Amino acid sequence: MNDYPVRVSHLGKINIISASSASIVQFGDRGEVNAKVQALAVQRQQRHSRRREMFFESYSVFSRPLPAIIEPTNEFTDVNMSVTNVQPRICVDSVGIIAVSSCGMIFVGNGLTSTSETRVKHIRQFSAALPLPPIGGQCPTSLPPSGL
Amino acid sequence: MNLKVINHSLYVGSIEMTAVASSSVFQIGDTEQYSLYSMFDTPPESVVVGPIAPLGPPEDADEAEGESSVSLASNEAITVNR
Repeated sequence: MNDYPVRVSHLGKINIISASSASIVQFGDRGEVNAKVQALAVQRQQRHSRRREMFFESYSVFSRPLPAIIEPTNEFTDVNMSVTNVQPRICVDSVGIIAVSSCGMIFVGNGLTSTSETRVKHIRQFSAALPLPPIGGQCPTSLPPSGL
Repeated sequence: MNLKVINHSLYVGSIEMTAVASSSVFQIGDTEQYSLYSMFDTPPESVVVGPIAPLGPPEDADEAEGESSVSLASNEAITVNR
């Protein structure tokens, strides 16, 4: 049986309309990718120029630690993997993708390690009364004029 | 544990995708390691509780495997009195 150490990717045609927000489209091999994006998606009733800037530090989703990946340590859960490539190529005729966004990654080629992290906080900001009363407190009649 | 992988021929005709988003990966090739994290925080106001549009069951729902919840009852509109 043949054994090729590295497989080569052959791609006939690719069509990508949009790649945005720290997305990667790469043709060729790579060693390490470390992609990270933080986003505050704010929908405001008032114009942005009339409201204050917003800060990532105000929201806990941007500072909470990532869940730990526990590596196997003993001989029963440790996995030794051996790969035999009978064919030296991967062939794809055509690829069509409408959108790549928020650390989305398109790779044609081989790689070693890739790490990607996306944190998105969605906010709806109304200038009128709050739609729901806060838990254990009085519902204010309106938001402070310049507060967040 | 020993895992032996044998990669034979891989020929793909056409791939059509709508979107690759939020730490997702589409790759043609080999790799060793991936660590993909995505955190998403959405306010309750953006979640529509009801009333929802009454959708019928999808086409060929009776023949779908592993979809025991497909029935007319689960697709009835929910009305919320405010």
